[in-house]
Amino acid sequence: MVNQGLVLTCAKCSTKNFLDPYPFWNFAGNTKCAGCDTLYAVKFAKGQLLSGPTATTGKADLLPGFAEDKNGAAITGEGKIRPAPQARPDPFSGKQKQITQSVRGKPVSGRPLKKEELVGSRAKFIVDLHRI
Amino acid sequence: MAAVPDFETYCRELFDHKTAFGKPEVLKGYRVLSCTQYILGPSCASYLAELGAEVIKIEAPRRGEPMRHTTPFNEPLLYPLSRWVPEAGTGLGFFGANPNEEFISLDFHRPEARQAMLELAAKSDVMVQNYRPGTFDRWGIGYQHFQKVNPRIVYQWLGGFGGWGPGRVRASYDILGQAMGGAFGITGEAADRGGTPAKHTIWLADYWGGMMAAVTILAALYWRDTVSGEGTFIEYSQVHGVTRQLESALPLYGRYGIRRERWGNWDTELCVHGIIQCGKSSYPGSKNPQETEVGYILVTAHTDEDFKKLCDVMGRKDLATTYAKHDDRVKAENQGPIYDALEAWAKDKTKEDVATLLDKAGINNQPVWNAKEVSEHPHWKLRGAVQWIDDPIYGDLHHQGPAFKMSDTPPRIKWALKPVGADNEKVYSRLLGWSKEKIAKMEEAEVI
Repeated sequence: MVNQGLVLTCAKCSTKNFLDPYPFWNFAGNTKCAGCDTLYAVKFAKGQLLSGPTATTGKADLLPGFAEDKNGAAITGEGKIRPAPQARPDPFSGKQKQITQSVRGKPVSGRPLKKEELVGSRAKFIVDLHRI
Repeated sequence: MAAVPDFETYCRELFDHKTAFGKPEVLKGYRVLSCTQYILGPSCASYLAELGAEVIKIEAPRRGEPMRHTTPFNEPLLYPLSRWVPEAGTGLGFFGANPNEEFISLDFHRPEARQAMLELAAKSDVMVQNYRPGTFDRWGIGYQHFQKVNPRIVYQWLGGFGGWGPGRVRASYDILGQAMGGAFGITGEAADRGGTPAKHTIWLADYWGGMMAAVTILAALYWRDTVSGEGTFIEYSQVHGVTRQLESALPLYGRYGIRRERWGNWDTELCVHGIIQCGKSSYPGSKNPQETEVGYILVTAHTDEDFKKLCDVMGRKDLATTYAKHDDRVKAENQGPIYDALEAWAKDKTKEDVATLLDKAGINNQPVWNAKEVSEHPHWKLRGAVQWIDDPIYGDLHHQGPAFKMSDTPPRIKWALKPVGADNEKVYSRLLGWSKEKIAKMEEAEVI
């Protein structure tokens, strides 16, 4: 196990699991490797790792915010990392919604993208807006 | 005397922010390297970028600096974080301290990175960084190293406690700076109303620290370009920066041994000069819980004349008699009953109701506004204090404009921010002469 604090590198598959500072800052419980689903018990206080990561059984209390395999490729998908969230659940439906427009109704790049949607470092649909 | 336009017309035409892009930029031609994180360092570099300097922000490859990931609710909202991590985003906490900059990535720990940093330094005017004291020296990219390749460089280091002294090696944050610098000792509720210190929600110590550092950089550039021809090493202490703003607290202690105390939303020197609660929401039919909250308003009526007017509006002429003199009103034991009477009067009113009544009586006031109310006010829209920008990467964004105006060389917002490493090709090829193949190789090795 490589102990890197808020980066949990899995002993089994070498996946780098990024434990986001805000939710994991004072977290005590189980998290899960996004690469091989190994469950780890961890305890943090003020961002410092107090105990773990120790392989355990049961359910994950909180998933990593982001993960990369040993080759640096992103691991995504339901049950692997926490879904790309938005600021808060919609107050009326209670469901999280992805932002596609600003409050005045114009397009914004507010949803997770795939590499094939990019032109350089920009979303293709934003590039198209600015096409001359 | 020759006729000139009235002052309002003159200012409106001279400072119209919509004409800014047709005018020159005052710092164009100066190149700034910004190895900064969070707010203190980034805000310093961004003030220079708003004035037209070419600011190159250098971040860790792939994920960038921590502020991209520490945002309201930690929810990433601007995609992509980088071209390598498009499924993640940059949080809105990154806003406001990084506009107009070019973004490249570099892993400072690597030997190839050190070489690249020295080559960039050789072609730059300013370096800004806010890592812990001595970190960049340990990595071979401190001022002493930069000076050897560019004796003219102005090197600004911002830290918590300064570069020397027994208390230097700790991490610092805005909130720590305010706690240690003395701000929380005088900010917050009075002892008889809870007595707790209050943290300011916006990172004031960081933003004013960034501004002070930017001013110092400009002074060092003036010295270099008009007097010495040489660079300068500048140290800014975040904690000292807070202490610098304590105004009367230190001389008061020095003269009398008195510790200035917290006094909440009232004022120790003036009364009435504080914020009161109004009992009704400004949005009574709203289903949004944020809008059903009661309102607040600043009331200032500290002269005898204004206080009498205020008492008339409240229907409390007795208060005007009891507290006719300011010396009586300002006493700690009297402020409580006066503000209690004000809040009792405002209990069945919105902040707008109170403002209307006070305006009619000629009493200075200001409802406490939220972001929506600030954003929608025509005065701030007209002046460009709040702007919608058609950001070339993230689309339609609402942004704060530069707070100051310049007639001939106005500051401006060109874009809000960019993904990590978005300008790698542009900067490394143009400034360091790297080939396409070398850039690809460095990317693959995660040096950049």
